[in-house]
Amino acid sequence: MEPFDRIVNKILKKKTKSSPKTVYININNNNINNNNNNVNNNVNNNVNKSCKKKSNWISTTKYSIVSFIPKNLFEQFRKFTNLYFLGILILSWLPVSPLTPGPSSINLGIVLLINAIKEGYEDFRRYQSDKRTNFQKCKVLEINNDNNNLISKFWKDLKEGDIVLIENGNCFPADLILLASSGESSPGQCFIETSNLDGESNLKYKQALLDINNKIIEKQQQQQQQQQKQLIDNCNISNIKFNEKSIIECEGANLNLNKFDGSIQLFNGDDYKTEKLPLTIEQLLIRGTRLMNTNHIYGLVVYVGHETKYMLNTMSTPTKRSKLEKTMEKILLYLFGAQLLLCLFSTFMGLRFDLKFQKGSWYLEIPTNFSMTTFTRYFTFLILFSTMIPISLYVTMEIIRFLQVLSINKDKKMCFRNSLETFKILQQQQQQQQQQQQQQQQQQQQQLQQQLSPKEIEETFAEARTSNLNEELGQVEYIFSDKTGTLTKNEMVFKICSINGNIYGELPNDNDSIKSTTSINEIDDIVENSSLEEIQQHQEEQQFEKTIDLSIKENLEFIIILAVCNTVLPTIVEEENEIFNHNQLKTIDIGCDIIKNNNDFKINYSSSSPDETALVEAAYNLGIKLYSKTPNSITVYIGVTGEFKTFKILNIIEFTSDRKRMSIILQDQDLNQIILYSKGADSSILPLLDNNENNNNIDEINLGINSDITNNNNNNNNNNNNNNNNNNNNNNNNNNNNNNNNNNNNNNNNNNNNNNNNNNNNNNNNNNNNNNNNNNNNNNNNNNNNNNNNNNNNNNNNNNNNNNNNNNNNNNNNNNNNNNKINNNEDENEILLKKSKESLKLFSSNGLRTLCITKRLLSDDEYLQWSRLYKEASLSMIERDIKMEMVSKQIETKLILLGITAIEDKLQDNVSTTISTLIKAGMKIYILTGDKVETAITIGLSCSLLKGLQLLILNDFKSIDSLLLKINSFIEKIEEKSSSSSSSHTSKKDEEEEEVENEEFGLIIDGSTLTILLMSKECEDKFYKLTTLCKSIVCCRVTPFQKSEVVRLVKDRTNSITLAIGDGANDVSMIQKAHIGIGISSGKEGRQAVLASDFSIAQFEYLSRLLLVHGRYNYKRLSLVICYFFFKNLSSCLLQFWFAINNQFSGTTYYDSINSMLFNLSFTSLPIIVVGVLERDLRPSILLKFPQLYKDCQNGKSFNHKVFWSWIILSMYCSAVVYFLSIFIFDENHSTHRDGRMGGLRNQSSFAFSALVFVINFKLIMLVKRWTFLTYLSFGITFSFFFVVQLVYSSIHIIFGYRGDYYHTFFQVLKAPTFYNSLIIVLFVSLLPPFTIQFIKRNYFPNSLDIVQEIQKFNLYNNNNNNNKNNNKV
Amino acid sequence: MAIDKDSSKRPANTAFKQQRLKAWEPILTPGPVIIAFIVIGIVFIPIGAAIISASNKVLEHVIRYDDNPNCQLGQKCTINYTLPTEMESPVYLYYKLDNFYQNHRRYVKSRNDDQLRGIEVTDFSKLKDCEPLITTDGSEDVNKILVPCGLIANSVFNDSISIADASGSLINFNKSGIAWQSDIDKKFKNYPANGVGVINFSNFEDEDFIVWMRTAALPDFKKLYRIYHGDNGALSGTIQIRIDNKYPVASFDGKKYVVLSTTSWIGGKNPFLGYAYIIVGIICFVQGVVFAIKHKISPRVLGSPKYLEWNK
Repeated sequence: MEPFDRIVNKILKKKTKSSPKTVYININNNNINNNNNNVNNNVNNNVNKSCKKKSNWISTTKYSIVSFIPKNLFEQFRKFTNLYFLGILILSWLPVSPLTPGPSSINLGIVLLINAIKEGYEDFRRYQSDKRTNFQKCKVLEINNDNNNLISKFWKDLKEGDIVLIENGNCFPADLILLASSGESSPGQCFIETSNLDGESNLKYKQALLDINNKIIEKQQQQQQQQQKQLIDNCNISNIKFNEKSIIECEGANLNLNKFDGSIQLFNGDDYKTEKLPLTIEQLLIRGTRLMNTNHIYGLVVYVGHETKYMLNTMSTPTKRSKLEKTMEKILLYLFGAQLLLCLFSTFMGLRFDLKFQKGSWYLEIPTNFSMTTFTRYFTFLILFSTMIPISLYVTMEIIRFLQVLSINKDKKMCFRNSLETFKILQQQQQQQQQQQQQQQQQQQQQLQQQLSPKEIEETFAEARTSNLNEELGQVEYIFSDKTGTLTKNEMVFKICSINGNIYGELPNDNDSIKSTTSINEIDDIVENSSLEEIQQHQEEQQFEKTIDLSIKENLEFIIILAVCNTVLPTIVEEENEIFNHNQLKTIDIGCDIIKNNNDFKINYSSSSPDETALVEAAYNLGIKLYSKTPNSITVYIGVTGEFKTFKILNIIEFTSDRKRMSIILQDQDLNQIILYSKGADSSILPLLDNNENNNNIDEINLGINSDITNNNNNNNNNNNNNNNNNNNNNNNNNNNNNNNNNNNNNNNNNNNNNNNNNNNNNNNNNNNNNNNNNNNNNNNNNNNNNNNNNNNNNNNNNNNNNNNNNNNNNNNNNNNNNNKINNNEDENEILLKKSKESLKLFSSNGLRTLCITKRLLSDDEYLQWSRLYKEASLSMIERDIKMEMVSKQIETKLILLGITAIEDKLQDNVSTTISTLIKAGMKIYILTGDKVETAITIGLSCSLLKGLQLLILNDFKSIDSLLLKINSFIEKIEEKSSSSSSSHTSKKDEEEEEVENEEFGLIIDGSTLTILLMSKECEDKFYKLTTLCKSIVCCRVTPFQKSEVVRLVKDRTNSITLAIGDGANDVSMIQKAHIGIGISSGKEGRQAVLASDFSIAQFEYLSRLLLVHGRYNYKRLSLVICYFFFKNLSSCLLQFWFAINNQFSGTTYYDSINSMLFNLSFTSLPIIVVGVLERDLRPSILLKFPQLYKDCQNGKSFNHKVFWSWIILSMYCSAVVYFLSIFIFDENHSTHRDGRMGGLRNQSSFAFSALVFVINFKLIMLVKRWTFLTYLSFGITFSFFFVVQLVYSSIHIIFGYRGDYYHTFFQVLKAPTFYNSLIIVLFVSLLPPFTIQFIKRNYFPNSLDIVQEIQKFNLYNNNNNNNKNNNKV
Repeated sequence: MAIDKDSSKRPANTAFKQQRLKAWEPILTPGPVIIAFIVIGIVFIPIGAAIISASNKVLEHVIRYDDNPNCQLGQKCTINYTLPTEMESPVYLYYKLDNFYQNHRRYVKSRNDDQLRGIEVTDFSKLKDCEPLITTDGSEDVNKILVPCGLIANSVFNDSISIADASGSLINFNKSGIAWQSDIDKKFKNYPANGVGVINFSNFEDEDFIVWMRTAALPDFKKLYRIYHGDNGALSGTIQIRIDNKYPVASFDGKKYVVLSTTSWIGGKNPFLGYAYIIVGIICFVQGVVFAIKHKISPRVLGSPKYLEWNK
């Protein structure tokens, strides 16, 4: 069924990638036809064609009432088992059947019915919501020749080319082109809320094309003047005449929410026509979003119904199926094959007996046409043995998964309690104020913050968005994690900045980083040694200028840029009380009364980028308040002078993840200057700087991202490991040092006693920072600090002091080199640039997100020339993106670096413990981030991902060959290491352990290298090999596409399960690519990731619980369920087979059809469902303490061939015991009753069947590790139901077609004391061996699980940490 | 961001959903298991002994007669048999057939229960079960329907057996009570004497017939024939078994026996169950002892982290 779906989807997708389309404005055709018959016939034909084709009717249902039954049946019979049982059912109506057909039809019927009810219910819900949507009303402008009327239409009746009027607060019924807006704040502008689409609750604005907007508004105003009675909001554009030639040309319908290319040309009667104007996403109002804060707008429908971007985006993502399920299906096929063989064998045996007895057995009257009887006998056996395939397995699994999902969704331990957003903003602001006024009010502020404990709490639970993958969570081996918003809180706080080379602000609090990177033990030690105080002291010493002096011109400009150069939307809160009431937000334009008391207003900033919000808020706190924004102007309140300053916006070149920068071109109206402000990542900004071109190499050396140098580094690295300090090598740069340092760190960490060293380490860090930064002419950047710091560490470890000096020397040499080159054209700018770069490194190595702020003054001519090109590019229909980018590049050159901002994004709670838990659980974690290499490494260290690893860095390769060489050398290096360690096995254990720790590697690779890497298959293979050798991998500067490519790279090459976790739209492709996609639902980047995900959790820390607890439970449960189903079905089938031995393989059924049906349906089904939902071998808290247990699940230990075959063998054994004991006890030669009567076939089979039911259920009882009252209840119900059914069935002697075969049988059986004795003995004989094996295994060959269970049972885990008290009573 | 105060979104804090149900979490620690093994051994061995002794008290005599030269097919014969001990009443008289496949699929299904309930069945689709013996000549003629139809009813065991004492006077063996009462009550009623079809016999309530119609599970089976209720006291000494041998079994290598048996609370003589109990009991006991010794000599420390795979 899967390939089929895929083909269908492909076809559908191809269709949706339609060619560019043309939309004509709808004119009331009747009138036109009457009046303009001759004029526009051709055009009209076109119009008619285009109008007819699509309506705005949407339907998300799978079925209609008519098609439900056939289509649903078709869907269901695409499942192998269902189809198989349909075949069996058909056979069972034929005379070959040994069973009566009724019960087996009921069985299949029930399975189908349950599924159909579920599908039907889901579809009905979909239908209802569709209906609600389709029958919403909206106002449509009916354009007649004379007069335009507003008529009300249902959404479903909308057509392409209709002009609709949308009023405030309403949703858009289709994808609209914004033609005109009532535009209270500025002409042609309207605000929309996109929470339906991406969950972002901040308002965004859309901008109508002013030409068109003005045309329409003009008409309105004229009309108002004429009629003098209409209010603004009741505007009527009845006078506007759109000619049917008015067209919109646009790209075909597609999924992309952030891009729309088109053009519009309006014809107004004969007298007016606009030029061809470009349409962009700025004019597109997407279905599902809502008009806010705008009285009304006019929009032209371009995409309707299923063509709308909303519908295309809500199209179901491809369903994923779990590995377990796939394995299960494979086994089903094996079973099917085995069954066919068994049937063949039985048929052959039957033929042999027939030939042998044909003549003698007169009472059987065996016919002589053996070919015919053999042929039919084959099908007889097929039906007889059909119970081998568990019919109800799928249904049971779905029920179980549904219930499992409940426990995931409602797990309170995975519930994130969050204070309200507004409180958070308040707190942020407080923090910023704190930053400002730190010196005086630090303590007071802290108290204040504590008082501000949130009153309202928002609870975010985990959510399983699909139930198909519950068990997949238990087998994850690769985790691909986004950084921002996933590992970090995505609560951006402006921390520090460098303006003109001067650093203002403070580095992130080191206390936090200690807490996040060290384990509890270490903290204890710290407390013991009272070194905390020391740390604090050091902190106080290390300070930059805290306040930014705004009287300095550069500083002021810098802050103004922060406020201006962004896409943040300010909204003003009128009164402070309303700060909690988001719905009352109102935008305010200049000229409103509120400006008068300008000190009172509060402004809320909303933006899709938390970074920008952080910058704007920082500016706000410094007194530069972004006050209002229209498409054409920005107004900023400047606190220093107390005046408003307005800029005219000429262009905004928006941020894209490829460009990694955004620019705004403003006209300063006071100075009449055109200025380009640009901000972006250093990698994208630095090459564009004015004075940069000659010195590219030097820059790169400074940043340590030159490929040749990296090569050298790694050679050095080898040398270093051999304790050869390469003093002579001038190119020994920071990366290399990092490697060394990490080795050293590693050593420290291995020894638990070295915690003090760590503390010193941090202290030193602070010291160094202070020293270096206080001396502004110090050449060392922060990495050097680290070096020093770690070298100090080395001192502690009795390593030679020389290292330290050497490194310093190296760096000095390095810098001298640079200086020499720079000397040629050394000027102030150079020094400034260098300083900035140093601070850039300082910031990023502290884990801060950096942005470079630049500006460029433009001459009028230059701008005019460029803006023409820009407009041209923006109009182009083909490859607009590329053209736009090219044009943008032209203006974004010769930038002047003004300064650098650094924003802190704190790690979420418990990230490092979570990551180390996951690593212990045998998972390999990839971090995929857009950050710089340094930032990524710092984050990797602080979240303990790269802690104690030797780092291998791959970046900036120019060609595949050099990259391949590099990768090979890395691989060789690692393999050398491992082989050397294996050869030195004889050495002492302690030493060996240390060595092993040393030999673990972390790999860091950047986006540009990935691009090269992904070009060749060979390279990918090698890279994959390298990743398998490394412990963790960090990919920096990656694009969303590369994220998914990395996932693909790994997924294609391994059988293991991959999991991708992310919070933003840029993670969607990765989330969909991986086996399991997880979205962070408390993220600030909207819900797109969540919508694309299979599971959503609120915080990264819940991942460990989701995987280690729920995933593991569910995997184990479903493995058990599947095995148990095979076991019980095979047992019941084999019982028939054993009987066949005694009846000449003639195909007699052993037990009748009713029992055989109920066996699956009710005698053995309830307990396994309860067990499948509630079973757990260990408590969650223990599982989180022993993450290593997860490895068993990863290796698939609960369901593999070994497990499967052991169940099969058990099934053979049990069924044989049941059958042969029953024929020995309920023998036809011995009466079981005191009255001497003989029981016959029915009595014997009744006993055997009862024994089978008991054995099957007791086998489960033996396995259950957790007995809740529901477990007891389920077994109780099952057994009592069994007896009730047997008794009732036995008391019926004639009903419908049934003729009382079973009449009184069970009574007779119950009367015999032998029944009870035999039942007990059968149970013991069949279950004693597996029980004994189970006991011997766990007690004499225990695996970790058994041990941990004992630890749990005897509460040993508290002692376990100390490794001391192992002796406990048994 | 709107505050969601909707209470339905907050889960009811039920123990089920939170997976916090009170639970008993047993694991197989040596102590209880060893005790259980030994206890089971101690309980099972006496039960087995009791069953065997009950079985031993049952007196059973199996006498094959089809190979007796005096008892050729079609002959009447008398076999003298000496009972070594007295047989207390009630004594059950069985006939036993070997290698007769009453459980063959063709055979088992070849009957019509409605007809056996005395109902005239003329619908051939309903009679289909009786294949291959529906009508006398295989045609679909209502008047030629066999009554009773089907293989089972047409192969009723028709040897007659009677027992006389040494003096030659017949001992009173009763026919009533050999069939299950439920069969007599609900499943077999006489066929109307003037009903359609070729009536072989219409006395479906005959208990011998009912007993035969209850098919056996295995190819070697015995069926209850007569019961001696002790009119003449216990059976003892030499008895004469008089047989009218009419039923052919030689063609399929069958054997015919006469069986005389008493019963106890476990029914007929069947020591198998008792032996099974004793064997299981001994195994359990031995296992218990072995594990106990092992546990005493070299106990494994439970829950010791040194056994954890990652600590090794």
